[in-house]
Amino acid sequence: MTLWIRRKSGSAGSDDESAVRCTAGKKSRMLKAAVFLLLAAGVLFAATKYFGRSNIEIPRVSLEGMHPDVVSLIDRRRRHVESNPLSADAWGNYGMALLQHQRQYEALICFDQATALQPPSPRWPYFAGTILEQSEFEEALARYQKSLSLDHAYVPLLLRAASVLIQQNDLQQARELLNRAKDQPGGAAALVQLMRLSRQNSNMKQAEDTVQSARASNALSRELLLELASMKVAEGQTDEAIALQAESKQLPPAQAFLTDPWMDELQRFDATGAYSSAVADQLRMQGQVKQAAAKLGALARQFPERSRPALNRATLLLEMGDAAGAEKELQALKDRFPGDAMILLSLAYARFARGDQISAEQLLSDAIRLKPDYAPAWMAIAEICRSTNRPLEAIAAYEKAVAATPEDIRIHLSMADLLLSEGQFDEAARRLQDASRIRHDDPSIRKQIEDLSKRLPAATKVE
Amino acid sequence: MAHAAYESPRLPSEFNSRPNGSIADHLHGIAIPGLAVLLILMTGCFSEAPPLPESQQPVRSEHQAFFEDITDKSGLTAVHRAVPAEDFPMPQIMGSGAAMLDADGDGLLDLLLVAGEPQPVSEGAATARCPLYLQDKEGSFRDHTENSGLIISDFGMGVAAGDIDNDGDTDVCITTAAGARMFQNDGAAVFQDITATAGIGTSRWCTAAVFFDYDRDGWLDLLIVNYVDYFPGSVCQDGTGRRDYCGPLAFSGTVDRLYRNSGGSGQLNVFRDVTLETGLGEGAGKGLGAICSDMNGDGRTDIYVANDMEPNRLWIQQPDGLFRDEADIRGCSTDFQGRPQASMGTAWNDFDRDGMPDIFLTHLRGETNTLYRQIMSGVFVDNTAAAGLGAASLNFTGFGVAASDVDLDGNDDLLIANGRVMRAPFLTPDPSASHWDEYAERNQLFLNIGSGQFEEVTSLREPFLLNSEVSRGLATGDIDNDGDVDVLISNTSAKARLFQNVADRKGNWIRVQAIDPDLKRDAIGARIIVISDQHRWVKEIQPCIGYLSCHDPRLHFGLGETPEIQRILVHWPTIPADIEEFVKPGINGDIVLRRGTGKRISSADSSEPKKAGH
Repeated sequence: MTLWIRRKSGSAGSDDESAVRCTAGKKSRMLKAAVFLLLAAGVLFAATKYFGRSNIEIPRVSLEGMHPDVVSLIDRRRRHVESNPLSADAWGNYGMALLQHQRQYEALICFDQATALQPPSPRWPYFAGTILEQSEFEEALARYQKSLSLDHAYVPLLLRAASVLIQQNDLQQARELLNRAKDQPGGAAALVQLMRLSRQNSNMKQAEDTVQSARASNALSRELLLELASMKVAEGQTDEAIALQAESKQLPPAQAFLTDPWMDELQRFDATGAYSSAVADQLRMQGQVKQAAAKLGALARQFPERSRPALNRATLLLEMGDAAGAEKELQALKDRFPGDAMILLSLAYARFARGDQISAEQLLSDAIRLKPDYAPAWMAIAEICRSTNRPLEAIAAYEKAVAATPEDIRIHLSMADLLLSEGQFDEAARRLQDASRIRHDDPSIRKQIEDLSKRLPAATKVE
Repeated sequence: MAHAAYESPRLPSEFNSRPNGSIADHLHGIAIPGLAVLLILMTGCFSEAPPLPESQQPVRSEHQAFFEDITDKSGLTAVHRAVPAEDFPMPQIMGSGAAMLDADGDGLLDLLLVAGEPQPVSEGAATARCPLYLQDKEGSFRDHTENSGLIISDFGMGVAAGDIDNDGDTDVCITTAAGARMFQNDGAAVFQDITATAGIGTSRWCTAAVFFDYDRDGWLDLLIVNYVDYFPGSVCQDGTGRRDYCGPLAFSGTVDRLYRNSGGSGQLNVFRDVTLETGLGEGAGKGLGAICSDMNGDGRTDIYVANDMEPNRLWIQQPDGLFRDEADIRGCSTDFQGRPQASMGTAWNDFDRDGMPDIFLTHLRGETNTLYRQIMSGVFVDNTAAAGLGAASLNFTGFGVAASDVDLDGNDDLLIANGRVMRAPFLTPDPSASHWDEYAERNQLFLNIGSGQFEEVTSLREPFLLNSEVSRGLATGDIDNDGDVDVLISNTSAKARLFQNVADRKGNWIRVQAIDPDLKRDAIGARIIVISDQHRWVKEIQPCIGYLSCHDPRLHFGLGETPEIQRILVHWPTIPADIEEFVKPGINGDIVLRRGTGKRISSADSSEPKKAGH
């Protein structure tokens, strides 16, 4: 085609003829080359088709019983691989969908295939490794080694590979990887692992230096301090160890310093709401209650057969002071899940908040019929009885709550308060004594115990 | 007023299910597409299939069997009841245990299986009778269930066996998913339910129960381990939206309970809840297994609780009788990498024969079982990998466990009962498969080859490993009194199995019973040290250990080729401390050590302060 264009566009004359002859020679060579390339492509295509059909079967999983959204996602991703059998992303994404939905064996096949199709990517062997580390250490290590050869600095990868090496008792190699990770962002977990490995040498000086340097670089974690505490115990310094243990409880776990963006991609393949649920939980913990409620509302709509998203949303509405909204949603939930004691309890809270104590008490009794040792329900009944001037019934309900959860300090204190008001000082002293035996970190609780104790007559003292 | 009811996402540790064979096996047939394939074909560059991973290789493919399944010929016909239900009631997947005990005092071990689901009886509440089989002199087992009186009304979980009133017979506490029941033995294996007066009333989901004398006053106290605050009817799904049993993350943990026996105050068969006053109320957990022993060598009894997906607790008893959790700083709360594991069964044996017992715990699929080696008194390190116990347990969910010297070579081996808690996703669903087939796994046997190193027996001809079932309880004891250890396994919704030890014997043995005549019972908590010219073995009398199960209270020692025992030391579990020596006791037979008949070698006065709980 190119020749023809040249002849038409060129000027007439001998030069043109020689040019045509010359071009004709080239044409012959190029035609040969084209034929060869076509043949090669044909062979390649046929081979790909042949091997694609015979050896690299696209994994198919039984979808029976799965949620329709999961079925749809897996089916979609599989069809995408069928249409793009040479696409690493298609295989890898199908693997991600399978991994997220508990089909690890099939996911592994996909990741290995994606690795073969896209050798420069460290992510596919990494994902394969995360599956294999739960069953076959050697195979997992092979995948991690491949991944490390492509990205030698990814901290989660270094930590996972080190973890497998430790489980294989190959401590030297593990130490090398951990040393690579420890000074990078998220390396706090590596520091802890190194400390654990060092504990075998009982090098207290080194351990204390490590803790000091972590303290200076804001990489101090709960586990690091506990490691030092363990070494103190081994040296007989138990009191120091106990103090370190107490301090460690105020620190974040080492894992909190770590993020794994590769693994986080799994949330794009979540068809069961597991990730959204976790995100909602996190939002709530961070005080972003409205956003959490919105997230839960979406989950409740997506999974109407589940009770928890809607229940959690309703309790958030209660926290936000929207008792009417909560009551409406909880009533609907109760109609759908009549045997769920948690829903009954929450609905009772909502009714109580709206001033309907009679209905609240009835709901709480229903909850207790379903779960006789439901301490929060007994406690709520006690509070209703108390507010409606029925102290004896309230005391009886408190007793049930204490029997179900003797470790709950709030129940002891509320009960003691009522007993003091009723002049039952011996029993009140007993409750306060039990309360003082339960360890707690809240100074206001200690103050409450002291204040209540002051109301006891001089003859009745808490030991 | 608000409360949290958040769904926790399921951990992926159970997600590595796959069909038979290793993942690597299935990958060997996969070719690389495109040009790479062509190149390989053109160059003829075929690589050999890599060898099987080490963890899959049979260790002893040619061997005489270690056990024979004698279930049918023994007369044991009990079938555990757990009827699959739409809401997948969680207790079904966690219970039930088993015990070997001498219920009728004839010197022969009897078999007790904790019942599963109660059945409605005419016009009454649902109840279940716990199967009790009494052994006759011919070695057969007679079904005594109808006459035993061991009746429970909720899904049965565990069993503790011990003499709570010091009258010379074995009483029983059975835990259920909604409380525990105490049964007093009349001496002839007829039990009376004394729960109402025993003071152990609770409606919690109780799991392991252990009789032990925490205050060393001569009366057996009771630890009841509690699991989660369960809401019957809760609905859970697996990661694909299919209904499945809830896991521990769906519920909050609860506090374990310690009950002090008031026998010393003249109140027989009465217990007092001392949980709060002894400090155990300070930490809730999701407990399944327990070890009650002096774990830091200070002469006081401590409590170790194996928690499900939460750090384990080691409650060290302080001089004032208060317990303080020191698991974190003593190296036995999490695995080597600081990860809480799904701990179920427990063993407390000196695997490396260094004179200090070690902790072994069974765990969930995707986790290793874990061996915490005691490196100095009360200090532990996770030694799983070095002991060769890591990879072999990754594909199993371990529950029942016992450490016994199966082949009498002088080292305690490990017997593990396995069974999943979440469904196995099959490649091709089998329409004929039952509900429980998706949870079934085979059992495991690890041989201790010395110094605490283990090798797995994977021969498919070994009867102990043959059946894939949902196994839970595992109890050991010498049922035929022939000098080796036999095994009873309880299976969910299936018949229990009894395995007789038929292993080639590699050495000698002794079986030790330590009795305090004043107490008329086994000296629970006594530490026995067997000493020969070249070796020493340490064990402790505590039959209630493992998973929801109790073993033969007599201690069995494999001695290997040791021809003679020089002496046996007994640390009696009393205040003041009392150690007696018994010399040249003989081998290959029973040795009964009575307190006061040995040579006293140490008796220290103890000026203990007033203790909590008293």
